[in-house]
Amino acid sequence: MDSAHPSRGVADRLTGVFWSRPKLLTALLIAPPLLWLGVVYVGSLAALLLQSFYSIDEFSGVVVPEFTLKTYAELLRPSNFDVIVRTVTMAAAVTLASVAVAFPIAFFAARYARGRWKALFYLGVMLPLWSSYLVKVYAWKLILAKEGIVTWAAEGIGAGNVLGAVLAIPVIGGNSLSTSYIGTFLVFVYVWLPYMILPMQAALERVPGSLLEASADLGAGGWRTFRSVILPLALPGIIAGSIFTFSLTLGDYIIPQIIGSSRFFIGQAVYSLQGTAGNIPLAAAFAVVPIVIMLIYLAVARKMGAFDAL
Amino acid sequence: MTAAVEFHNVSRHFGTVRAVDRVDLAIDEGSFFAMLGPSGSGKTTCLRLISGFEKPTTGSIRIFGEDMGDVPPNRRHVNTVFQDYALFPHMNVRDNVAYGLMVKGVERRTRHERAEELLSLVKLDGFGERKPAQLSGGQRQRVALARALVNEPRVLLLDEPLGALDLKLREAMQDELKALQRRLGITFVFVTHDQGEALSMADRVAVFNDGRIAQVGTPSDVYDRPATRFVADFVGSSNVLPPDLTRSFGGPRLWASLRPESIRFTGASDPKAKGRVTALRYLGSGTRVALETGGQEIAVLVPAGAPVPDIGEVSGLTWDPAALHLMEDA
Amino acid sequence: MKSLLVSTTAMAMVVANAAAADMITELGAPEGQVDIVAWPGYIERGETDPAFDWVTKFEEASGCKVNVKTANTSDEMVALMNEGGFDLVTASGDASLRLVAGGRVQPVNTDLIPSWATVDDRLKDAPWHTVDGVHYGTPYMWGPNVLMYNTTVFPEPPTSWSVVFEEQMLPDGQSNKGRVQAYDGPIHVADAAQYLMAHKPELGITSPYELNEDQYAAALDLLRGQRELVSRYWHDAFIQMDDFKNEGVVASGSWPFQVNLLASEGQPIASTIPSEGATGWADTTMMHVNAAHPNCSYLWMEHTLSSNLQSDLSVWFGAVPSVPAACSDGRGMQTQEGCDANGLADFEKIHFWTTPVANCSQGEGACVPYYRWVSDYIGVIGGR
Repeated sequence: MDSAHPSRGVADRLTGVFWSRPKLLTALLIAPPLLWLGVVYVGSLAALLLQSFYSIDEFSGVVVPEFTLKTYAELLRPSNFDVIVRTVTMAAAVTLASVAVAFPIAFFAARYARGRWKALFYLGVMLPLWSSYLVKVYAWKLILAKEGIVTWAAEGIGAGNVLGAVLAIPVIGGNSLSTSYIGTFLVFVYVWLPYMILPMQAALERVPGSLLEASADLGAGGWRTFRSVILPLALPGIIAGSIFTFSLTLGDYIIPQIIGSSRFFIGQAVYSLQGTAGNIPLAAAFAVVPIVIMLIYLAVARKMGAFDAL
Repeated sequence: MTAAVEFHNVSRHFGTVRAVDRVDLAIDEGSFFAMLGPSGSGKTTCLRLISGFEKPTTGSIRIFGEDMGDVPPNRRHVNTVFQDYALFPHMNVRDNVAYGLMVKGVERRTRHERAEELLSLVKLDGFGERKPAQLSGGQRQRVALARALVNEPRVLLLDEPLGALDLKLREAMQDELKALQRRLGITFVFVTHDQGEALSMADRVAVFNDGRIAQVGTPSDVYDRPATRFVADFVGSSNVLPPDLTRSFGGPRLWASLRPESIRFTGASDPKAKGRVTALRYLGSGTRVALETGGQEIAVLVPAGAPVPDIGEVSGLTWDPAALHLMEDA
Repeated sequence: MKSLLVSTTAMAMVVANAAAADMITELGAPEGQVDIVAWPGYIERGETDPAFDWVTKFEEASGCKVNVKTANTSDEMVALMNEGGFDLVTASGDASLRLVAGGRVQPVNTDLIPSWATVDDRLKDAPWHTVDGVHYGTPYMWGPNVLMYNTTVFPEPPTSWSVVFEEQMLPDGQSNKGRVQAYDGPIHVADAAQYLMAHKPELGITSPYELNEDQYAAALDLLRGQRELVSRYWHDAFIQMDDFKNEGVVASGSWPFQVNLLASEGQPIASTIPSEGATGWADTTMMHVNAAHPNCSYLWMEHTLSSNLQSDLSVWFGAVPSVPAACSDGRGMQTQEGCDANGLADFEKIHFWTTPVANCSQGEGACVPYYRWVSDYIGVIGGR
């Protein structure tokens, strides 16, 4: 017997089997998550889609399990369409603001922060994610309240009338920051900002410093380099971050319930249409809206070349 | 005549590290100037001081007589070919080349025409639509060159531009670069750690060691008449002789250099020196023979076709007295 | 999605449990614990305030440890009961019949609850827990949705809900615009209907939960006017309390729970039931069809009716006991005056929450069903 190959145990033989058929191991490893994804995830999504093509009997309020587009037509009713427009507008505004706020932070972290500063950056960005989402939102309610710290500080520095003027802006203003769209917007931006910073920072980190030097070398000032080199190369990260901020805002139903003017967002509409209301088809149709919007968004982003660098 | 680039007592410190240490330098307009040295010797930092990506800790830099103290990189009439080429991956070749013109606000059609001209200059006609990722290393190098030339710089800086190319391509590019420099008549400042490259291309060479310039001169100056032990050793791997050995070789008691190719084997009864062969290295164009003499190892380069002694054999050595070059102890 | 799964399983359970709905006929040994789904503040063991404890003595006497899971909405309660693992639930009128119809709760044998006889006769056969003469639980507590107000702004209690429905000067000389609140749930349409019962009798509203198209349209119109006055609708009790403290809100429909808590913090807050009457809630202790601890459950139901619970909880929650004697027999802190103030005397003026359905006393399909209340109220809050 060849002493270099002593008798083989079961584990050893199994290793041999997997070694000679690498695809078998891959298949075994990927099967459970794939099943989960396929059955639970895609399955529930399909059920949702199916429900949205049912309708509710206007008379009895009972769900009629027959294919119809009536429920989707319901979405176009002014009161429902308002909810969609409101949510999408908010999601877009939150995303743009997140890009604007996150960029300098991500840029600094990717280009200049080293060692301890880098660690501090990650800590600073991640820290808010570790505390409860609800606690943060409640805290913001107090901060933005009519008798809260922002009003107090604004009056303290003599900017009370500025705050008043801002709140007097129709539609987005209100009785106080915490009962206005401005407040909802601020809290959304705060809560989702880390989801924008992190992918953006990762994208910026991948841009070689020599490209920025090359741009400057060819005569470009900071703004030109930003527009022609940094921004296009950071775009995949910005798109990735905006997918987070946009879709998270589209789906959230807690923040607008606690902060803002009580006007419904899609998530709240879904929440209140199921349950006692029993209007599952309309709830499902509402839930399909963010999915469709995100698909369109991704298609546009792809067309713009956001994923070329992937 | 004003020098294209002048360094006056320039130092650049990174913390306690003196990357560039009290350097004085003048680069003539229209010359092909090489900065040669091992990695970490300060040559690249000097290049970046010219382009403006580094600022001198002390001292001043002038380009065509104009002090660069507060001139940012994008305002200097100097362009760079980067070591990794630094082509913009999201732009096609034409847009890469035309970038400098776009920055200046040159109208689209004009700048595309100009970009095509430059691509033709670097023999890349018809590659304008490609993305950098679709090019070979040599092609990217040419694009980087075209891009750096589009703004018609008076000084072109090249940071190890041929480092990533294979040998054959590198040799071809050396000739092309040299020809291009003659044709354009602008100053090329070229950083390399390859002495062969520096010697074959440059009009003048600055040899860097530890943040300082060990010697500036023509290629034959630094090759045949190295000023210091370091230059002798780094440029062409010369035999560096300690004072005692120089003396026994018939010179004064000073450090000296003796090129391996200057030494010949001789059967004469009174050779200038004798040595025992310890190792042979076949190089193709010849054979490098290592000998032990006077407790020191020296190398002899035997051209192809000439007889090569065996290991262990004791041979007589001789050379032209002028080949023994005396130098400073540094 | 979750609700889809829930409703399909609920349908399956109806079939499965049709036969299992047999009542227990005698009690065995206590199982050592009982798991209850309850509204926040409903089951107190002296931890929030040592004076309010109706659990410790029960645990000592019965040996049944009481575990409480609080739920904030009726939908949440139904969902928790559908998931199972609980014995009892304090179900409100918009959840109780759903639980019965879904086969989630079992009939209760009142013979095993000695204090059943002491329950208010008006509640014994209340339609929200009695189906075809079968009792599906014991009445727990009821109360009105009161008008909460700030006593510095209103030196005298407001006498009409008009302060939250129509723009007007409040006693402090400033408009009520931006200073009043309303509930963000569609059931608030009933409050508007109740207001119209008194102020627009020509509409002929008889129950605020049974509205024909015209009556419904009038209620929505009233609510559209209210939108102009309301900065933010309230949803969560604690957020409403915060709004009274920090947002300058001075009047709103509310629950006695918030009123009592704010008053106990020393805030200038009180409540009243205005002349129009009020909507109200009536909760029932119901037992899960698969309750793992039925004996402890029965002991708890008896305890809810016989102990200090009815009396002290009615003080704590500002509610009315389901056992009238608890108001006056000194078993707890409540007094007859307190019960009357909390709405006992107004029983006839209070319309208890039920889910509006299309088939109502006005005829088959004559009324606007709840699902439309939901979508239309979304529109009203959105300014449509």
